[in-house]
Amino acid sequence: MAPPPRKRRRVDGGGGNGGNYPLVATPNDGVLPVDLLNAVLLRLPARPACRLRAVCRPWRAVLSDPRFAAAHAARHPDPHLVVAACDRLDAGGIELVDVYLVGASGDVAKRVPAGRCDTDAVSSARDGVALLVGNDRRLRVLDAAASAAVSLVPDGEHHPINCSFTLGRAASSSGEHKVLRIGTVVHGEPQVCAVLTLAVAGGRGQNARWREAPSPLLVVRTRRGDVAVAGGVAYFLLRRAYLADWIAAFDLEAEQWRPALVGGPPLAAWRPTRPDRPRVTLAELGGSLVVAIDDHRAATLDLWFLLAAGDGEQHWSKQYTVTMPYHRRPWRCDGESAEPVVVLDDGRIVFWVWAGGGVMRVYDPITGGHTDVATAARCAHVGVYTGNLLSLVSE
Amino acid sequence: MASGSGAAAAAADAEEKESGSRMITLTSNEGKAFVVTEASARQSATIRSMVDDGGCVDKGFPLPNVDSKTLARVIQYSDEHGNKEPHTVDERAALAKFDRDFIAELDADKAFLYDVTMAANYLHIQGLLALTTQCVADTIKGKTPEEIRTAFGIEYDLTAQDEKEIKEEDTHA
Repeated sequence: MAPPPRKRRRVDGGGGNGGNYPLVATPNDGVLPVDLLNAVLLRLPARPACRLRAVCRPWRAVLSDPRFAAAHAARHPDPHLVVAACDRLDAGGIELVDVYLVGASGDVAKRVPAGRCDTDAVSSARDGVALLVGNDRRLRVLDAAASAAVSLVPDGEHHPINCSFTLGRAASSSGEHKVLRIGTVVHGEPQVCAVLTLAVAGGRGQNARWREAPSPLLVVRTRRGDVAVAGGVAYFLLRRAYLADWIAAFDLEAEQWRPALVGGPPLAAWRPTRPDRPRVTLAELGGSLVVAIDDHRAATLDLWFLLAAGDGEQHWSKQYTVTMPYHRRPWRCDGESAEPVVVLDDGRIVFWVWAGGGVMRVYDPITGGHTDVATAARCAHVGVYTGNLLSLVSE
Repeated sequence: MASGSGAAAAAADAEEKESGSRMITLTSNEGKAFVVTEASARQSATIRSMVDDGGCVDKGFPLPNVDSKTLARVIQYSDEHGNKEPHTVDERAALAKFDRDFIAELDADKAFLYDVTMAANYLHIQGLLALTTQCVADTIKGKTPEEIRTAFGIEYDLTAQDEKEIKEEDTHA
């Protein structure tokens, strides 16, 4: 019997491209045929992809095709900020929390009322799922992907008065959302931890149960900016900041603290006792753990990325040095800080600047310029939503 | 009835087991034969559809677009991903490390990387295609158009009119 008469795709230059894109019949296709070139170019961020129109005519034809633009947009959805703000009062004068999805140009794509909540109640937001904890200590979840409505987590648990909640996604293929609860230190006892798997996006989750988790070996800080989740691992700054390694890591898949601490990026003259010492916060950008070092004296905000090297080891790399407008003043107002929230596809970085309320500031590392696109008078929390907005029903 | 469906399930199980342990021969364009497990071969959607269509498993599959060196490397990938199913965190981490090492090695030899990319495309091995096209994308991301022309052996064929149009598009963007 002969091999099945299956039509083969040509893999020599200028060959079949599945009929998706214009065929460019020139001897100038380079080493990759057009369909593979498409697959590669679709993986580029918008800016480099745009620049490469000047390579040659076939590349320009691919990159200028509206169908390429559509496919590229579908693959690289613009991230939106999830901003929880309390700028309304109910009839009884109690603050109401609204959750906004804000685009990179400051446009509000959606507003979801979340009801009564404490200002500092919103704990975490990740991948379109925001976790809100009201003053009744009950967990509410805003799931932008499923229904863009707020639902109560049926966990039936009385949480300790002083505890923090961190929302993250396990690194497994199922990518479950999990909540890590960490209690505040009482009388030098270890911090009590528990984990809950959230059933989001229409899952079952009728009987959400908290599971005990081990305590961290050293006391961790749990306020905003002290915590970041990247690659299925929740990172926490240690309370004792003068150790050589000052970041603890909790694996959300294994539900265990990693035995080894993470050493942060080099901090030259960082004396913890100095009153004007740099402000160190954690963030997640582009899937990497980022340490932001805001040094008011040097008038810079450095972003250090924890990157995987070829040998599987990880190393710190300073990718951006940003100057914030408040750096021009000789003093820093109380609570004034900037946190990086997301890197846009074109390389610009969105910061949320805390100064009284909140300002959404888009920084362009190429020009060094920045634009303030949105403000919130009383903002509680900022997260990122990277899902497809087409799935959201507009209000 | 319950026992009947149980027997059917057992039979299906047995069949599954048998097909899982079948060996398949792939032949490169140089005529060199590679014997792989069916699980490994099924990483390729092209071969999978031929096997499911009742193709001649016993005769093996000639792959006239893939040379021996490339095929050996592709099989290295599909063996790793087809023959084991990662269950634990450690196993998944080991597989991720395998992918990292695999692509790092290819990255060092661009011509070979392009060969493997094209083979992954021809054989429709999604995971490998994603890995290699991302690697090529990372290679060209930071390059200027001039550097890309050099790296890919592309001739500059833009006319003055094209250049003018690109410049205009850029100022509008």
